[in-house]
Amino acid sequence: MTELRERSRALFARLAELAPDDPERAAVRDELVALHTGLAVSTARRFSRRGEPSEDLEQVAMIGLLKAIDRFDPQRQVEFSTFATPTVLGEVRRHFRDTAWALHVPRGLRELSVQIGPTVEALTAELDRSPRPSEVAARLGVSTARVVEALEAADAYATIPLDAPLPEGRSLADTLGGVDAALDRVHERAALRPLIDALPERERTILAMRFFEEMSQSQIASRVGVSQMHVSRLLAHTLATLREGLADDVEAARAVAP
Amino acid sequence: MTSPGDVVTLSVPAGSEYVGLVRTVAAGVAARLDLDLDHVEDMRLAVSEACTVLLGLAGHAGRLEVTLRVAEGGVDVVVARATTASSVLADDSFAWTVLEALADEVASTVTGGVASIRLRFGAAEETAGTGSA
Repeated sequence: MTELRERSRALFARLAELAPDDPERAAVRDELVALHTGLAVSTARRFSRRGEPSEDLEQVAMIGLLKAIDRFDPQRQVEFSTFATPTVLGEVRRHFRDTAWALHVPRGLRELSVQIGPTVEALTAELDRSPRPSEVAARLGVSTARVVEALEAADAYATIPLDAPLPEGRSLADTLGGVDAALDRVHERAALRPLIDALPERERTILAMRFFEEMSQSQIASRVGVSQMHVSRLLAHTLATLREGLADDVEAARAVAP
Repeated sequence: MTSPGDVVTLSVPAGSEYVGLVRTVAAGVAARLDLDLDHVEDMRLAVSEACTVLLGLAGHAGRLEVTLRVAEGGVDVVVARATTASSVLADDSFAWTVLEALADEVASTVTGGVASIRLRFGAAEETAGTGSA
C-alpha cells in the first residue's frame, strides 16, 4: 500500500514537471490510471446492485478517475486516493441521475407492462369484464400503484402498430348493418357517411360496436380478437380521423359560402 | 390511492397540443380510482373528445379548465372554456353520440360566456357536486 502511495506521488511529481504537450505525459498518466484502477472498480461495485451492468459502471468510474488525475494538485497535502474518491463517486452518481434513472425505471415498467397485457386478457375472460388495476396487481403480485404507472408507461410507449392485422377467420360483416340505422340519428350523417365508408373495415366495425351498439371495449376486443388496449387505441385513432374529416368539411363549406 | 372528495384541477392553454396531457391526467385519475380498464379507457377517450369539442368553439384561445371530482366508485369531470358561442353541442351530433356512449352521463352548458361539458363515470352522482373539497 505504501509502495503504491509512493509510486503515485512520484508519478504525480513527474507529471507536474512535464510541459502540457510533452509526449511522456501520456505514459505517466496511463501508469497512474493502472495504479488506481482498483479504486475506480471498488467504487463502481458499491453501486452495482442497483441493476446497472457492472462493466458500464466501471467505465463511468474510470472516467471519474481520469478526471481526478487531471485535476489533482500534488502540491496539496492530500493523498490522491482521498482526493479521487469523491470525484469518482460524483461521476457514478451523475451517471445514475442522467442516464440510469431514465433508462432503468421505465425498463422495469416496460417489463411490467409486457406482463400486464396477457394478465388483463386472462382476467377479462375469467371475470367477464375488464379487470381493475387492483385485480391486475393482485394477480401479478405487485402494488396497484406500480400497475397504474405501468399502464401509463404502456400508453406512452405504445408498441402495437395501428395497422396490425386481424386474426384470420373472423367474420365482421354481421356487425356492419347496425351503422346505417344508428347513423340516422346523427345530423352530420351526410358528411360522416363517406368518412366512415373510407375507414378500414376493422376500424369501421369497432367504431360501430362501441358507439352504435354500445359494446364495451373488452367485449369488442374478444369479438374482434385484439387486446382491449388495442381497441382503445384504434377508437382514438378513428375518432381523430373522423374529426379531421368533419373539420375539413366545415372549412370546405365555408369556402363555398363566404 | 384516491379518495372520494378528492379534486384534481388542471388548467392548460386552449390548444390541441395540450389535449394529450389532459387525457393522460384523466386516465391516471381513473386508474388510481381503481375503475375497471374499460372505464379507464372510455374516460380517456371521452375527456379527449370533450376537450376537442370545446376547442372547436369560437372564442379567444384562453384556457381549458378541467376539474376531476372523485366520488364513491366514480368520477365527475367538467371541462370548461370561455367562448363566444351560444351553444356547445347539439344532442344529435356525432360528438354527442360518442360522449354518451363513453360516459354514464353527459351534460353541456354555456353560462356567462363559459362553455362546459360535464361527464360522469361510474357511480359519481352520489357525492359529486357536494362541494366537499
